[in-house]
Amino acid sequence: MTNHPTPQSPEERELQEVFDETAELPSEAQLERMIARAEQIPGGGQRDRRRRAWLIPLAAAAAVALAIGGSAWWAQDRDDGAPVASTATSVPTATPTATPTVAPTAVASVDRKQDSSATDDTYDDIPVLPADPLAVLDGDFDNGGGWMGELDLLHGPAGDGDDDFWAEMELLMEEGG
Amino acid sequence: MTVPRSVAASTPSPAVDLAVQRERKLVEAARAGDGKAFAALVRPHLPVLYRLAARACGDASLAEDAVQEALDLAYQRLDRYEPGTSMRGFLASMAVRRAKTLARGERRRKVREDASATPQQADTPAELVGAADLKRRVVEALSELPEKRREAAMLRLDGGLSHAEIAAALGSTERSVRVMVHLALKDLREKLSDMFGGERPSQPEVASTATRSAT
Repeated sequence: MTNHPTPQSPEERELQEVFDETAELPSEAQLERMIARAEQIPGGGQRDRRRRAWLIPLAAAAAVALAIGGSAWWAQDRDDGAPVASTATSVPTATPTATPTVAPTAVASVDRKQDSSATDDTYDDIPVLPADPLAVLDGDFDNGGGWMGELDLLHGPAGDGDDDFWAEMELLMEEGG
Repeated sequence: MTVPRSVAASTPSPAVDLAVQRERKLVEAARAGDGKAFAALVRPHLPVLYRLAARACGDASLAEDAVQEALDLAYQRLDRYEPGTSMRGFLASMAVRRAKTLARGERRRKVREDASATPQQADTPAELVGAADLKRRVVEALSELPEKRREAAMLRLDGGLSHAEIAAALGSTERSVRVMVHLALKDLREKLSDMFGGERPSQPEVASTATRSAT
């Protein structure tokens, strides 16, 4: 509502003209339609807020459960429950012994290869949690098989599936951030 | 744009106070569920929001939906808006982001469709092809910018926002925005250098063209 005039340099003015020439503007009919739709928003918005009131704790609980489940899956051997990845990270800091040992990561690798009963193909899609959940929605994270992949299966890919679900998810993440 | 930018005084005038009071009433009424009040709040900014969304999508057919979704989001966040600040800035970044989200989905859909569709013969008149080509080049030049710089450039050139308004919209500082806009404009000028004709005015002047305007 309150606007302040901003001087433009000659260079910016030239670019401004290019942008003006290539701008898409709405027709009168489109404007009227947008206004009519805007008038309908307050009622819908109130419904959305009521819906989000129970979605927020649900989404938070789901995210925590997925994170814990993913971590546990990563840390455990799939057959006997013996820790694999956690051993790999803790051993290098242990006191050196006289007997040389195989590098922990190699041990884990050998264990997997020798264990013919293990479903080795499942190691290929161990969930990877993105550092920034918003990166998933911004398309900067490959969600092949990760926890967002699970949501993809349920709701279709972000931006191309259950629009309502993904819009809610993006809202929650933005507000959570 | 067709909406002239008003020149606000540096000190609050009675007219500005009245405008702020009116806006505050509209915001309160809209939050209470008054659809007409919400429409009155956003109506002056719809052309700019549409323009921004169309640029961000690179596809005008999605712009109207992007504006609608941005308005939905704006209504949900209306309690964060402080009357008397820039409603346009408040709405603009939401329109750009919703447009980008819609465009991503559309690109995926088109990739799937193109994979199964048979090629079509283009029979568009040359002038239309030329205009579309110019638009495409601007969108491409923008798309090569880093994300925040791109958004700042669009808010500046399509949204007609001041540096301070852009800073508020992006959650950044005015100084950072000045740098971002400067670098973005420099890059854009290099990428689009052949589009600048000799007949264009080059004298410095205060922004007063239609697009650098607001109510």
